[in-house]
Amino acid sequence: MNTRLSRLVPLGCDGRRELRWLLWGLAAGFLVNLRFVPVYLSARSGLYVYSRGVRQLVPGAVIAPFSELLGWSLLGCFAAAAAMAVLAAWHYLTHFRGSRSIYTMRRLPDRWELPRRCLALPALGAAAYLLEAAALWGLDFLLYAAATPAQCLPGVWGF
Amino acid sequence: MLELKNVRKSYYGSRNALDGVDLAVGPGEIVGIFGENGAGKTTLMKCVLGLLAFDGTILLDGAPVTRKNLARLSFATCEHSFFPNLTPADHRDFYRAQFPAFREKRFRALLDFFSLPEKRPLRQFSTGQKNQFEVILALSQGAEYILMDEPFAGNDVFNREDFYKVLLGILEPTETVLLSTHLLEEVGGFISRAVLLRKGKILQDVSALELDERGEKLVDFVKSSYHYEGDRVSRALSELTGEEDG
Repeated sequence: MNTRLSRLVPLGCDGRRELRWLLWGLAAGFLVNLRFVPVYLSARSGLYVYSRGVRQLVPGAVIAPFSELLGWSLLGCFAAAAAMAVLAAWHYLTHFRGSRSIYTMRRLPDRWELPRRCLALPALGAAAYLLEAAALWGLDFLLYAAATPAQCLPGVWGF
Repeated sequence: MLELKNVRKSYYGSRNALDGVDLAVGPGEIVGIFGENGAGKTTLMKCVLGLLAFDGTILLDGAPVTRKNLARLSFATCEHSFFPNLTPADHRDFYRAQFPAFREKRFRALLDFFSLPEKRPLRQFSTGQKNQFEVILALSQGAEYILMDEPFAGNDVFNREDFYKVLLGILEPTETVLLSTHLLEEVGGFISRAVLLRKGKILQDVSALELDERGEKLVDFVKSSYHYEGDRVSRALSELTGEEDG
């Protein structure tokens, strides 16, 4: 596993450590997205009034559009995906630190060795973060659509 | 045969670093490339290796230098092109995987000769050891054309002398060396040809045999080609002294 991983990062870089950071990025994206839950619950509680301790739907009440409630909940994922560009640049600049190993990388018979070592992990990371964003969007939407009374959903659900 | 035809290179906003260089280097030659700082020695090597874009033609046995034949060239530079976080053993593994003609026996022998540790990262080596390892890699890659750009900068004189001896001892008749250096006295008896660059142009191209026949030393040849003014130091000193006196 480590040998395969080490072929995806510049020579001398710790692939396992970078993978750990990518996993932390996934966790951070998830944690940032958790903000959707209290925002949604707050919006949903606005649909109700309490009368003598009994919860009742406000007649004609409509929940805020999904996109409005989602707000910047996916920002963590997108920021992490954008940070992959920085990681790719850092990988490339690694070949200028302590030596000019870029000269060796640029004269290898395998033309893909340098791009692979610079871009593979950032590309995988960016893809993972975008997939995570899509999955979280789906989960958030599922919560929004399933937990909101049907008559309170806006016409086009706020897209 | 490595051929350069009308090779030109200019950096943005500056004069030509290479200005119509024509050069042909055959198998087995040990060519010294000499010239003042900025003469174009490093640029020449980087153009040959495809590290810099250039105008003109560079051919290796009649074919342009591409990924297909690039492994026939190796490079040792005073800037160092190894991976500082890797050990020599890691480099061996990487080179073996990348360069099918990698000379493992030579690599091991040279590592032993210079008593370089196999399992220590290069970043922990001294400057001299780094230089040695840089040259070891270039010699072990299995290339037919070995380009060396000031490879001994920072090495002590004993180390350098040892290296010349080893180099002459291990090179095979088909291996060609292009060596750029300022150490004229040291390499005079070891190169087979001297190429002098000045302001991006070839000023002189002479074989060691020709110099021998003329009874001229390399260092004197270079000085005369460059119109070196032997009295410039004394003139400068007298001017300075005069200034102070005044």
